[in-house]
Amino acid sequence: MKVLRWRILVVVLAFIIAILFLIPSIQYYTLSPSSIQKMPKEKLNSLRKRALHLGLDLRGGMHLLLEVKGDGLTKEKIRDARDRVIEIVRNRIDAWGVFEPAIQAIGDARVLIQLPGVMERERARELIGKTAQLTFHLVAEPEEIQNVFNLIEKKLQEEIKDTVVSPFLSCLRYDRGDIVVREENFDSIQKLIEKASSFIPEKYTILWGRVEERGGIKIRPLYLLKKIPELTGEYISDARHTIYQGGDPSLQGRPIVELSLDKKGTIIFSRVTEQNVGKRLAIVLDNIVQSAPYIRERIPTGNAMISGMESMEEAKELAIVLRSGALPAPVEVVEERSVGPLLGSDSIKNGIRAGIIGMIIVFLFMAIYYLVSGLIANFALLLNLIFILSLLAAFKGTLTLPGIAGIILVVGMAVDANVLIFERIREEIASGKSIKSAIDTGYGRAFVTILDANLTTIITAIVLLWFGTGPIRGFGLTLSLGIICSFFTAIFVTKIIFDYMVNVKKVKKIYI
Amino acid sequence: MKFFKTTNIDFLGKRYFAYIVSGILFLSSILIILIKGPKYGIDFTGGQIAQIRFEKEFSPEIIRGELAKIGMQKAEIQKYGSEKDYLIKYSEKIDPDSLIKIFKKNLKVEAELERTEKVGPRVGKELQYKAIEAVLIAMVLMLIYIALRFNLKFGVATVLAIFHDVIITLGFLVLLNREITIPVIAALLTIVGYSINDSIIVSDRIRENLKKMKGSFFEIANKSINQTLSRTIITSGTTLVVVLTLLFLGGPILRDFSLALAIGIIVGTYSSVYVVASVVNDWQRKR
Repeated sequence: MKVLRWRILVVVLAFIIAILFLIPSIQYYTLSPSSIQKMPKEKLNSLRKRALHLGLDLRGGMHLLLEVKGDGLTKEKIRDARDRVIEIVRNRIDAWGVFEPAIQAIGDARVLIQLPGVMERERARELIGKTAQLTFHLVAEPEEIQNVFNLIEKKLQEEIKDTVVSPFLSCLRYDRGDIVVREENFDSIQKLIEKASSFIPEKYTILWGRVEERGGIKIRPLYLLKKIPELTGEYISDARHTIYQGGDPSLQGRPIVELSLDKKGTIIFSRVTEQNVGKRLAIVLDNIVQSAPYIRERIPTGNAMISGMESMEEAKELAIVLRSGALPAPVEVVEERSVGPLLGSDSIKNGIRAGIIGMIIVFLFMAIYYLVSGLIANFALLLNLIFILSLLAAFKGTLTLPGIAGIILVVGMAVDANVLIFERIREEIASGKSIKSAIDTGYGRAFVTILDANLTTIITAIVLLWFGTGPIRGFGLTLSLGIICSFFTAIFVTKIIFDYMVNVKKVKKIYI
Repeated sequence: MKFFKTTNIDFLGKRYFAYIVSGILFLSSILIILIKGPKYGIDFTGGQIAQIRFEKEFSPEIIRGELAKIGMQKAEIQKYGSEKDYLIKYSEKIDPDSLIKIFKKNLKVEAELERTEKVGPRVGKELQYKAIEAVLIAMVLMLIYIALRFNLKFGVATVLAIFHDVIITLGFLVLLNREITIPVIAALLTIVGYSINDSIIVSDRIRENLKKMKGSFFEIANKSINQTLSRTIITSGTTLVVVLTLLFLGGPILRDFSLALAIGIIVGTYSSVYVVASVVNDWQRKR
């Protein structure tokens, strides 16, 4: 039986290839924590890359959908901005050190970011969403501030029609050279400033500083700045986080970010500092004044420093975003999902348990109902599972919780092919045909039906792949893979076994 | 082993009874969906979900009380598996991390955030359209496929049957107060494929028998359904078994999804036996 030998060879080969693709996964997921630590990092990473990918819902991590806010921009411009956002976000995430993040464009204005293993949601959101618009503005002179603030007070009084009450100035305090507002008054003052915004002279802008604690009270400094920045972040050539070791005792030991400006920036910075000795220069990040040091002398070196960070970690993040550049447009997080690692491993456990129990029931049923033929079908089903997992690993598909559900569903559905064939063979035998011809007709007739029926499941699986986000795509993926593999395992492989039994072993009776 | 000796059930003869049953189920599902209204998940409405695991057990009332203190009276609180695990669904702009802080401080207990989801209202709207689109596209593709492989009558009858299956499944879910989420829509799509699978097997046999047997469509259809009956029962049975293990053992995240599948499989099996051939039969007779 030459043909039979070839067919067996095909199956054995397919099986060997499937196992080869699965070996890295088996190695990786059976590693003990201690051997993970011992393993060299490159080796571990290469193994991890070749192993079956688990979705965020199984391994834990964070999923973010960003939208570029490009009001009034053309489609082209938004798409450009989106691509730039992808590039910058990738740099920021790489600098942060996330293993295998996935960043991809979705439509014209959206960016999908997947961060496996990341649990620090707030930090991730900040790191990614920070527009990082860095600007340097001169702080207005004290008399200018007084004039503008008095003007605001007067206009607000006119509006409220009460000249006695002081709505604005009474909430402001002087503290160490800054004008500060108590944190609890922040919202109301912000509203007043918005109300008075049309009276503020064109050349100025009012911006807040960071929340600070001074003498046990939470305050926020308020600055009147020249609207046009002296310098912007585009001239930054490098940014590093470090600990302050200079001459200012109030900053001693605090985390800072050191900036190096490029050639052009150095020239501008040198000129600005020379012309404004004794004035304050505010360093503004995303419309919040980080600090506003006094210019003591001309700075010709192109080095500047940002202070005011709470922790080294924060300084590090700021350095990352400054290095990677400013986002071209503000972005908004429109969707965010995160799963903790414990829930992920719980999900895996539940999924596997349900799968095994479901499988045992189906296997027992098939064995009892179809006897030897049932065992053959079970063998085909096991082979099918190996193929699904190996194809997932080979093509870098992602296994998700719904994906596990898809595999479990395949266990129930893939036996259908064998049930159809076996029922048909039984009918043919009952109608008096020989075993050999009953098997041949059974397979022949059933094949078209199986193809017809399974194609519809594949069509819906494809619609699922199109419709689904993240986890659900995993369901469409395993379901369609399982159905496709079942053509091979449930039809091709089982037929070989029957042919072998009938043609080679010359079996006269088939237990079906 | 065999469940059925050669059966000879008059399926088509009971079709008027089946029409009445289907009609009642279908109409009451529509009524339930219209009157009670589906409860949509945040995937479609926008909002936030925080799944929290506490170190100790708490009653939902305590959790509700704590949330009410910070003005979140409208938050939905759901036990998630045990009295230690809670799913809180809300629309306020409060980060789940701050919820954890509040619980830790006020209840003096360790609490951990297991899962968070946040969907913006616009994304929710889009997903809503996309879900409806997906179900409709799937049905149209099925109609085209069957119309090509069989004929338009079978196509229309089958799609009618799937529509009936999807609506009744949806009706049950709404009745049982289940949330309509993306996984549930995925389950509905799967039902579209699955239910059609069953119908095709029956239709395929009818077509085959029409070629080689003599007799009316009525007789041949009946015979064909009987011939494929044991396969229909076995496959639906094995599929239902695995879906039920998922439902009971697969963990809370997959529960609504598996429930939708289970209902869909039952309804789909019924409709492929009782509805499709009957509709084709009556359509044919009118001509």
